[in-house]
Amino acid sequence: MSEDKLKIEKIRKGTVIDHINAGYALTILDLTGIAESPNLMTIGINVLSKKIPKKDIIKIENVFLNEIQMQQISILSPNATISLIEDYKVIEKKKVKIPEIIKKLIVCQNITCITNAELPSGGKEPIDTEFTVLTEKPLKIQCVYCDRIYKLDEITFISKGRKEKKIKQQIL
Amino acid sequence: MFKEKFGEGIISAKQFNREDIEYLLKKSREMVNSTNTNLLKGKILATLFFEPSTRTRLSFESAMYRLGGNVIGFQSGEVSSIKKGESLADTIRTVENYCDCIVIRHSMEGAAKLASRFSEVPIINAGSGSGEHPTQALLDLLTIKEECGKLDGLNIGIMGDLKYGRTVHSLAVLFSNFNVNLYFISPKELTIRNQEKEFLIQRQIKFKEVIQYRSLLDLLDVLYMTRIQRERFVDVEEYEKVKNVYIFKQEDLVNTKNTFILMHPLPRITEISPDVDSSKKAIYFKQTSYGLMMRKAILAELLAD
Repeated sequence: MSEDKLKIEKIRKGTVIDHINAGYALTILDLTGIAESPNLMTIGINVLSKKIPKKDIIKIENVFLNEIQMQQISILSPNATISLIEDYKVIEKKKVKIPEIIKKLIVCQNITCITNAELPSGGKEPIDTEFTVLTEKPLKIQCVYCDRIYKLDEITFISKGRKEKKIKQQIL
Repeated sequence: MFKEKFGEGIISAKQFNREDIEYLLKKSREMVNSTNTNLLKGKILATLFFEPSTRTRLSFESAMYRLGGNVIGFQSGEVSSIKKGESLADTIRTVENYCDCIVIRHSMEGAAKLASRFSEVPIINAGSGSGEHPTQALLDLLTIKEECGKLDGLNIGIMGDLKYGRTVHSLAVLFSNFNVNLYFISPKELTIRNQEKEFLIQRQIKFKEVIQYRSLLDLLDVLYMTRIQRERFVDVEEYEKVKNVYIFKQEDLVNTKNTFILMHPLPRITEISPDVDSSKKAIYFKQTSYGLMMRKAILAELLAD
């Protein structure tokens, strides 16, 4: 076991999110809502890695991710892996997968897009935002309604508790 | 076959491949001599125009009447229940019960796409904000094909407001089905949008972006001029800066080929001087007659039993 790995404590039961693009761990915690969890978590930022020069890693006790959280991670960090841990052992390991269509997670910033239309009543049209993934690496997505194209650093997420969250970090 | 593929209607130029376009061009030509005025008897077209229109609405309505059908609709969002706060989705779910097809023009991009998600009858996008206007682009291709005799091998200039001009966006996408050289001529504030550029690059279509048009006049087969879209500008001062950036004058015709054609989707404001109108190369009014042919063909293909 390398010295770097020793620095990040093992967990008994929970989830390990590994191979996160360096600099994205805090954003993932915030966006997925994991940051608000009362459970023990350890976070490694700029950890040396064999596959990529640097990576981030998150270990959370007693937390298992849902489909939406997995999709959020896949958008921010398409190389990430998710390991489920029981009794300090990996019982399942999977790579995140960007869906072909991303629904409800991202805001279209085009003010003249029908997804942003404000009705005289103050309401909105009864539709969810929807984006087609044009390319995964580098990420490029297109609004199904207005066709505007966004790169990763231009994306604004719809975040739980807060209306919007813009990703400020850049991929290294 | 056409009816099956376009069951949800005509929302975007991206739905069309070369075969679809050539099929519609052929059907449009057949409409000139067609004497069948009962083809759409008993069918009703709804025209929902939340934004002003002259040519598009009247040509769709005329096409429908000439094919024996009927038309219902409104010409302004001010007179519909939208004014009372109704969503577009609800309006569509209501109107679809009264008609066999809906033509919609709206100020928001993606409005026709939304309509197609809530409608069982086909939707025809007659302009969605600064997004797309696919039937205008189809009639433009019909015009070029009829006037130039071909679509492949042409040098085509598209000039003016390429950022907000929705006909330009649909036209660029349709041209990607043909072997053409495209010249996008605009001030730097109004260049063609990234989504169209990426689409053309992906399809390996040759295009150039330039600011000045005069040096291109001797090589162009077609110059497609567009109005600067005042209503889309957030800042009026920005509009004032560019509103008269291009004015095509009679002397500009001197350097053009004998077979050159000057097109415009209309309305024209100041960008083509009226003294150009009498030239046989100015075909923008003739273009409107091709519009009727194309819209008859579209309605016949979508609605005939």
